[in-house]
This record gives sequence, structure tokens and C-alpha cells, in this order.
Amino acid sequence: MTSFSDNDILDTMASNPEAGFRKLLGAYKEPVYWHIRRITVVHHDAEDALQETFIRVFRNIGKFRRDMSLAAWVFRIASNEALRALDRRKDFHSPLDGATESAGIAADEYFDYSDLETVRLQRAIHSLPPKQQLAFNLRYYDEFDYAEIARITDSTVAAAKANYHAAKEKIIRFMNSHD
Amino acid sequence: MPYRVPDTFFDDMERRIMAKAVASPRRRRNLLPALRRSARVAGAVAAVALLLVAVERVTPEAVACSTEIDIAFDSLSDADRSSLLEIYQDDIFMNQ
Repeated sequence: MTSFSDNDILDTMASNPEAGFRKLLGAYKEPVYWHIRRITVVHHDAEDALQETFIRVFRNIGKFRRDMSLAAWVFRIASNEALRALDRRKDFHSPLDGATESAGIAADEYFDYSDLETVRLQRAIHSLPPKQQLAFNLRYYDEFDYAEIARITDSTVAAAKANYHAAKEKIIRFMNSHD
Repeated sequence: MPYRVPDTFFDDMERRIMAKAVASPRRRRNLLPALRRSARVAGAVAAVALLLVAVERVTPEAVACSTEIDIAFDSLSDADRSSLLEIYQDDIFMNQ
């Protein structure tokens, strides 16, 4: 996922915070943006959450313990910021662990409706509760293993697996029923 | 994915984040060591002042005075010493 190793980024941040942070941004800004965007859907919400994520990363890098990967730590902060952004737009989405109502995909100028299949997949993902969405996105798009998904979502490996498989089943059902 | 971003979004975003992250906390961080240094200097000055006050209290005159009293007490007879001790042993001003 990154062009620099975690150790390289962290060692540079320890000796030269600005240079290290530039490396971290270069490595993570795009995958983290897409992760947030898949949750918030709306570009401007994702933009705000991305900025907040990296400001938090910069300010709290001293608290990072190397018992998890840097990617997992950054994605954990990003997930929280994305869910916070959703929470601010209560009209759009149910809160964490809320009902599994089917949420609509909000239109903005940075949304491409031309590929109907991918729009349908996003609709299916957004019909899931946030924890299942997170588990599915982190596994399917970002290719984290279950242990890292558990750390990112502050749950157990078993819960991460269960959330991912439940999400997958629901998405398949949604896709089949909306052919 | 059906999502798009404006052209040059990621470069612009990186510049904005760098500016915001590096600028504001830095200023705050630069103040802290200066404040800590000032507090340490103030602490050291206070400690030296306290030490000087303490030394001043135990002046050579006071030491000489107490030595003279010791000599005078030593020159007393046993009966006088016992009587003095008996009189003043419960004196709260002498024994505070």
C-alpha cells in the first residue's frame, strides 16, 4: 500500500517531523481518502474528514505504539473521522450499530452514475450497518487482514470475520434482488 | 468505484494539510520549552534565596552565643543544673 515502510516513515518523523509527515502523507493520503469517501460518499465531507485525520495523525504520532501497523492506526483514525462526518449528517445515515435501512447515495458533482454496476454495489454497501460496511471495505478494497480490521474497528478478530461475511452475504442478496 | 475528485485535489490537499499541521502546533510547541526554562530558572533563584535566608538565620553570632551558654551551663554545679532543668523543662517557649 505504501512506497515507504512504516519504520522509514516513523524514523524520519522522529528526526525530522516535517519530512516524515510528508512521507506519511505521500504514502497514505490517497488510500485513506478513498476509504473515507466510501463511507461518507460526498466529496466535501470526505475532504474535511481527511484533513482532520491527518492533523490528528501529526499531533498524536508520539502516542503511536508499534503493536499495530501504521496503516491500521491511520485507518482507525480515518474510520472514526468518517463516522463522525456521517454523524454530523444524520439525515443521510443511521448511527453506528443502527438499523439496516437502505441509505440512498447522495448525489454530488464528483459522483459518476454512468457505471450502473458500481453504483449498485455502493448502494448495497450503504444498505449495511456501519460496522459491516467498515469490515467489508477494509477487507475488499484495502485488503487488510482480519486482525488489523479488528484493531481498526476496535473489535475482535471473530467479530471482524463475522461482520465481513454477513456483509458479503447481504451485498450478494441486494445485488441479486436489484438486477 | 463511481467516485471522482477534482483535478489536482490530492496535491492541493497535501499542501493544505502540511501547512495546517506544521504551522499551528509548532508555535505552541516553541512556547512550551521557553516556559519550562523560565520556570526552572525561577525555581533555582527561589532555592538560592531560601538557602541565603536559612544561612543568615544561623549567623556566627548566634553560634557564638549558643557556645557561651553551653560553657556557662557546664560551669554550673550539678544542683544548679538540675534545678534549671526542672524549672525550664516544661517551658513551651524554651522547648519549641
